[in-house]
Amino acid sequence: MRAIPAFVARAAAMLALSLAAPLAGAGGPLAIRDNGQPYVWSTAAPIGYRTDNGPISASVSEASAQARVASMFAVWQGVPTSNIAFTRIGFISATGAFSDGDVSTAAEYTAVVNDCSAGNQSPIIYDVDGSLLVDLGFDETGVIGFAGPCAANATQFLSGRVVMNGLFQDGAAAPVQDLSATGFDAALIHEIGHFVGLGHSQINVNCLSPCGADDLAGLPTMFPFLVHDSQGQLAPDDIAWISRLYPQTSGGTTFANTHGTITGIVFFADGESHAQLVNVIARQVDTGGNQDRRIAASVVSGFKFRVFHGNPINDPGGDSAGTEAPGDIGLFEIPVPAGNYTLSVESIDEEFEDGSSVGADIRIPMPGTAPAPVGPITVVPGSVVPGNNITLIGTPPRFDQFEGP
Amino acid sequence: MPTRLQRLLLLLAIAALTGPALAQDGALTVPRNLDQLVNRSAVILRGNVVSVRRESHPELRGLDTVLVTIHVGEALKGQVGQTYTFRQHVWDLHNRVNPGGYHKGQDLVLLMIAPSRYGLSSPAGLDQGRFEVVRDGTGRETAVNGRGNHQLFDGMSAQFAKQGVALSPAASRLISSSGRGPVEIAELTALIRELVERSR
Repeated sequence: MRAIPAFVARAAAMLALSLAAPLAGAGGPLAIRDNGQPYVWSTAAPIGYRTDNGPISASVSEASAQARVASMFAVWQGVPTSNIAFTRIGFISATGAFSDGDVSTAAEYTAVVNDCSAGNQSPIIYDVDGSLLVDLGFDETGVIGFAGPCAANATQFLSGRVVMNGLFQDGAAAPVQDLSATGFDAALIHEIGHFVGLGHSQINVNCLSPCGADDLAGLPTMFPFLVHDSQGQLAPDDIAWISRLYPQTSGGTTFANTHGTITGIVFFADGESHAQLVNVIARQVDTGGNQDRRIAASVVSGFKFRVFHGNPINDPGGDSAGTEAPGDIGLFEIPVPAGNYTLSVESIDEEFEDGSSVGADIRIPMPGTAPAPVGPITVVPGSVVPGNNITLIGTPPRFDQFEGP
Repeated sequence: MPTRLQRLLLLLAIAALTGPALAQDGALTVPRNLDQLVNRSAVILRGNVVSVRRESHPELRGLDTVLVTIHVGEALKGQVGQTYTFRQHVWDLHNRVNPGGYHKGQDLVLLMIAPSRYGLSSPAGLDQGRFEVVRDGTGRETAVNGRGNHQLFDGMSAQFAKQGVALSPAASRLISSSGRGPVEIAELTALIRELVERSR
């Protein structure tokens, strides 16, 4: 491969910071429209899903599976400040080559996924022994499950799928060691987070190594890795973001009467150029209960901005999602429960590449160093607190097409 | 200050070198150490991506796949020719730019599982078995997988000690390291060779 001169590498990182934007998870939305609004499901009616007519595994019956799946969805539906709701419509509908009720072959999976891609149904598929994953060319001993939207129109998701690998719940130590039921469900609750349109969040990244109870309490379900069974319980970041995407607007407890939003821009050291893909965390001010570790929410700067504009040499395509407004490059918006907060910035951790990425599928280390936390910032219910700008220290200058003459 | 031409050339150079490393979101995997990844793999190679094409599976009509062709620089396990082509199922609705995380020009070390009866395959442990090689301005080449090499060497020292397996000093030193962050590509491929040899 070609050697990259150091100055080009530095500039590449800076250009990528300026051009890259999250099509994927941003500590918030999984996908962004070209107007900067997140893709969401309609909440005019509960989101309907259909389950496989068979067991999850040799030791988890269909009836148990149905109950567990309902409880996984209920974790998200149970957020009082969100109006998202789900309903099980029935078993997966017969379509094409799929007619026996139990999705167990690649041909059946393809038929069901084609129907999902047409927006007709949202299947929850149980791979009872990993054989479906084998047929699909995946490592059945390594993949717990996968999920995501299948179809969307210009503004909304229309359907989605979840695939669960029963090998991790079959009661046998081989070919893979089982996860605990709590751990397995936590993994799938995370996957359902993707299904509803949430990306990954980076908070309390110290929990990649063993961490304390307060750190675990603030560790999001949507953290890129499953590091503890407790991730089956939503953290304040998960609650804030599902409520931001699907706000409860009626009844006694609403998003507006419990949460507010902190906004600002992350700048390079010049105080003018926006810096993108910097993780911004709002932590509640600690008043003696370690609130700063337990109550936190985050987003990546520039989460609304387009991720990939294409280039004339190796890929002229580019994304169609995300805005191209220069004012969005370093912009952040973080929904938080009412309270007093400090803002801090950090690099996306080097563990979070590719499928575990946070904010965008390209990871660029934060340039320069982080300034001292900003704050305290008082957030009252229903408020938007703007202007909480953060200027990085000691960054190199930036060159890109958005730079002035 | 650079001239306008210098800046244009710089932008073009950067554009040629920086494709986003997109991958499939929405899959959770269990952590695998390198020995487990090697054992799970049918083919291990290092090479450059020469083409990436998103297309429907030829038999399973409508199944979204990405067809990736690699110019092989080094074969570490399995029978591999000058080029290696594999087909991987992709499910990301939003990932239309570089499906599956592959794009032309990538320098990769791939630990691929055997193709299924439908000709589908993927790296062992998904992005854990895919290392991207990066060369810095000093010529130093490092490799990092989709988990930032997190837990890549976990348990290997104890496992080999228990089994009485003696690795080379360099390999022993590497697996005793933290297992986080990029590793020298030469050290990684040497260790893979040792692990492949040991598993025969």
